[in-house]
Amino acid sequence: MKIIVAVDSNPYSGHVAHEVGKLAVNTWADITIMGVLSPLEDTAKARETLEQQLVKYRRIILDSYTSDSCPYNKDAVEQWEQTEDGYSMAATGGGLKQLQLVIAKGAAAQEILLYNQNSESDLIVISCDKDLGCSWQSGKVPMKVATEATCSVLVVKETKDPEQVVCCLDHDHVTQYSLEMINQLVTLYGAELKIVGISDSDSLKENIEQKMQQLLEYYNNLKLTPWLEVVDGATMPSFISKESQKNLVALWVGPTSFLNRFFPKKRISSFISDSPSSVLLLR
Amino acid sequence: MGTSEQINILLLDDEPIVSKRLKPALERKGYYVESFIRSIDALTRFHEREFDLVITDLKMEGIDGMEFLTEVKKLKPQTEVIVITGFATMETAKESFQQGVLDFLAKPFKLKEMQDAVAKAVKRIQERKD
Repeated sequence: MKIIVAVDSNPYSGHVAHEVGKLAVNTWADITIMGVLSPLEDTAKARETLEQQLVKYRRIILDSYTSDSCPYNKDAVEQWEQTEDGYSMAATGGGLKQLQLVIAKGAAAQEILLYNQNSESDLIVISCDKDLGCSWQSGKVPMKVATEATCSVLVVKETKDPEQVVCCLDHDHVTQYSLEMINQLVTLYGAELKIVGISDSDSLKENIEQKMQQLLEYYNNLKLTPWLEVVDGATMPSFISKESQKNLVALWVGPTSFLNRFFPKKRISSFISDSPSSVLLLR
Repeated sequence: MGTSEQINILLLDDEPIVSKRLKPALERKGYYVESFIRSIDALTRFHEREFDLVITDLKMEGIDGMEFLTEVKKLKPQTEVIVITGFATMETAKESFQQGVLDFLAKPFKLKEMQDAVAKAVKRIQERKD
């Protein structure tokens, strides 16, 4: 698994480093911690501050390993170098897996999306405030990344671990890739799994029930017993809002998703902003 | 059957979709691949034939991946092993490496990540053969 951790200078980015640390301990993922300098603030001082922050977040991830079995090179010294494609990078190699630091210059959301596209990462982890709204350019950065990325995005809020991972899946497009991402988060948090199907007509209900049955078989084969629930499309927003009070909500938002009808981009942005819990957007 | 120069890979995952995706991608790279969805069948085959590399899932019915890789390392310690897992934990990662696996890939991963891990294993196998 390849993960990009997008950070800024706000305290919630320290929290996201702790969360990724937990994920790293389990998955031994290749990780890139990424910060972006706005062209307006690209001074030597600002760059140095961001470099120090990224080094600090790297240390937080490394400190998650309490035993000596760490796949990253713990002793590597961060040597910043300019790459041909314009990034400032500290590739702390020498370990089994990569834990590298990258600084881009430009508009934060665009740079994160571009880096993700080129690195073909599986997951972007980004954070914003636990309270309503988000400080990162008034929330524009996490929302834009979450709604426009081509891979899955986990928006982390500073809350306690979820009791349940509630997955709202498009009955036509339940991908193996999505299920695998969900399974890792269920394992990470030791959470229960609830799978939600969405209906808006009788004929659709049959399709959903069939798909839910297949999912139940998939999980039963893995000796897991998820909760299953079918929710009417019209009540979906209020259902999601209620679930997000203490659970991690995962929405499948691929380009052809049936869920786009109930959750267009604008509504997803508001949902992420208002959700007191973390949100996973699956693709 | 593969030639003596060819790298022989045993692929074990109880989800058929995984083998369906990985097997042709590895074969296109020139490797000889046999895939299994039941660990007991994979183990029987491992007793019959020599494999340079084993790619195995962990969570499986019957003999689980950890037991399987322990057996593989006991029978043929030189066999390289890559673990793939959909339910990664600190304990499984740690135990895998204590058993001497070469790499540990948490699902989901892209084909490129697996191909890179296999290339690393192949390099090590060829260095040993030379």
